[in-house]
Amino acid sequence: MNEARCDFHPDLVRKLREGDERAFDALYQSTYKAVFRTAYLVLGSPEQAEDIAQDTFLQLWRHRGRLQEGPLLPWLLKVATNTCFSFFRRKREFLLEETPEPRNPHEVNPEDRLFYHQVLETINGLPKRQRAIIALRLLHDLSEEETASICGCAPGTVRATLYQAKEKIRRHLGAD
Amino acid sequence: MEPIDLDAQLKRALSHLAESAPIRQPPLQDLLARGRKQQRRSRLALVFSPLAAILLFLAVTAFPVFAGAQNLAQWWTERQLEQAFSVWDSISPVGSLLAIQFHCDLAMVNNLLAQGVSPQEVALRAEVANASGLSLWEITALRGQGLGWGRIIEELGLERKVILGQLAPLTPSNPENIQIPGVTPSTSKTSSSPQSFFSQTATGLPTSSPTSDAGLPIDPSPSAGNGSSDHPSTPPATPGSPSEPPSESQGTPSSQGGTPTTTPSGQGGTPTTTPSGPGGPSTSTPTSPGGQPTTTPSSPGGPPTSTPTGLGGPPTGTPSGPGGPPTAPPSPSPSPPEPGPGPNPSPGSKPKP
Repeated sequence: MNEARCDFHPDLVRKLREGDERAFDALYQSTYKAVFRTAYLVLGSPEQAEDIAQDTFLQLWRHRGRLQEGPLLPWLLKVATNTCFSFFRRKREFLLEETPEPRNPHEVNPEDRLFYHQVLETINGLPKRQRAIIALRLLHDLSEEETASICGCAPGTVRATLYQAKEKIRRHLGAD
Repeated sequence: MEPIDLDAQLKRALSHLAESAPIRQPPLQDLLARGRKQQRRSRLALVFSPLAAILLFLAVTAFPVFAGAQNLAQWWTERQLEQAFSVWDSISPVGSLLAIQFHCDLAMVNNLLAQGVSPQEVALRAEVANASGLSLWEITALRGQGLGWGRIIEELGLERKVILGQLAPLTPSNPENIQIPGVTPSTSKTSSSPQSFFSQTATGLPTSSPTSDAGLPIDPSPSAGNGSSDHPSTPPATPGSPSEPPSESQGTPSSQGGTPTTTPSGQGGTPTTTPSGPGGPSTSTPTSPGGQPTTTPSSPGGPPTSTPTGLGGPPTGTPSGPGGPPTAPPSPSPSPPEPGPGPNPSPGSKPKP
């Protein structure tokens, strides 16, 4: 089950709205990774992604009284993405670090490793908004409308951005 | 490579990239503690930023008002001027001399000098303060209320002659020629302290047509150019009437003009006319502020002298006594300069028979 698709029980959101720390802890444990990874794909730095994720959950805790019924993860991703956009507004390049060595060398075959490296280079060449669209659309499997709503753009922009990113990767693969 | 495969591979690659990043998830308590700290900081900022703005506003607007200025620019200008005056006062010997001589606070004296009060006026205030036991500021406040010296001395229960007598011996010891009101510099021959002047007038010494040491006729009026050499072009200030002491703005001849060559009645309007007996010359008392000399013949036979000392009036001699020739009209005949540095030659105060 995708992380973005996990809908929380309405009682959890209600308890969170009432200030229940255990409900907040459950939400925090289940959605922290999704928020962190989105921020990491956009910013390229684990430390900055950690700061963004923590700020996102602090905002959730601070504004818990205004939570409404509905899926909570898109709200968190929207907060994280907007924080990424505004927090590093002047920074132009967000280079993802080189793919670390897998814990189990047999986990990733050499072909996949080459492909991952090409994807990494392609993503590093994209601006942060397009990287956010790719992360939301492909990593969290959100729809175009949800991705457009989170990124504050039109669904056609999401579609075009995703198409351009695929074309770049395809060109990289064809060149190789 | 098929597009569908590319989508799947892209998803897998992104998952791999995202999962490869080291995740450090802090405990919830640490996160909440960080949140509380941030919230406290923001509350403090929320409270103190308007407070700081109000304080800044008050500091900018109210402080110059408290300091006596209307705005910050005026306050700054006045402060610069005060600093300039303080520098000037610190190097001015007049204030130091006055402070030493009258045992006053140097800052007070310098402040008065910086306000434009003449050294003579400061000396008189200091002497009255010493005699009355009040402070210099209190005397200054009395003067600031518009009271004349006569009124002040009367209210303080002081004797005019005592004040003047205390001031008299200060003159020769004043190396910088601080002109003490009512006191003429006592040279070898023209020593005329107020007491001596009183005694001279009282004993019927003539005050008309005095001559200088060089034999030049000297007009006894203060406009004769025999006043302070510091202010040769200063018009002679005249004392008021005896019952109406001159105010500070008008200036007494002894305190403002630096020409204490006239009768010391300007110190408090002391009438100095005394019938001197038969045959003696009569002295005139300056009583009219309009400049018209009033002549009081003291004896029928004596030649009355008139001393035009009215305020701003032409110091012309007016024959008023019966049979008495008028005194010499005021002429700008310069008096012989004093050999010393003192600007206080007053040959008119040394009447020669």
